Amino acid sequence: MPRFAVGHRFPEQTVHLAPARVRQYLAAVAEENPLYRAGNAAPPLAVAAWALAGLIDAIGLPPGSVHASQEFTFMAAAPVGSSLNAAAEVVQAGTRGGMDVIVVEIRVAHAEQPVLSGRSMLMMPAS
Amino acid sequence: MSASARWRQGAELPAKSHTITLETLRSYAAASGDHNPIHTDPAFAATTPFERPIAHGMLLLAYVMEMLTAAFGADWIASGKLKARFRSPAYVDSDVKVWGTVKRVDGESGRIQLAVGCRNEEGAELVTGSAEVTLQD
Repeated sequence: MPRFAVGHRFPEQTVHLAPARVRQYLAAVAEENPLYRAGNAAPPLAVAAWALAGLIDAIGLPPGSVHASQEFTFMAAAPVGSSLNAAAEVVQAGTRGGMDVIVVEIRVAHAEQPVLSGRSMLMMPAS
Repeated sequence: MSASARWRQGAELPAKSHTITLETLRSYAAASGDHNPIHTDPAFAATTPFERPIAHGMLLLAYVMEMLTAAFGADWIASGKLKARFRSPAYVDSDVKVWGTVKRVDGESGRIQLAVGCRNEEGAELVTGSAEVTLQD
């Protein structure tokens, strides 16, 4: 039986877009777009990466796990310095080739306005 | 001229190459919070089927995002949709090339659909996917 069932909700997270953290991300991915360098917009994929990192901690992915696919819809720029709310829920669960497969939907909002949503397919050694 | 009129089916976005080093992966791990040792610890990676560190999938997507943000600016951040499948690992000490091709332009709605991805030096597809953006005039 897969370790997570459809409908399972992970604890909500707060994602802080601290300026130093955003700068560190931009340097790590070699992103130099003026929208981020000079503006006040946080890179959407940084927001997604931090939300996913928290989710992966919550799942406790075992060795041998694979991030198989990813979808994102971006809805608005999140301002640097703000704090966002991230919620995640299992929307598909099953087994394939000896692996547990789950699809997790993530929704991130700033002041209750959606910033991005996404779906992550994660494959884990069967529990 | 509307913003979408600048784009034609078949147009290729400027490709860009990135070298994946252990330093690249450790910097990304520190910045993203994804500390899975398969990306950053050669000794651990040697115990896995990959045998050496591999890039975070989200790092490869960040390179795709860089290309799309450069092409479409604020419209990408406000309305972009990205779907990607991770097909093969990008190994440490290799180069990856990000690519994008316009597949469809809807002049009325301003919507542009693209195929996007990353390849390694041998031309193998590491990431393949699609993107969609609606341009504002």
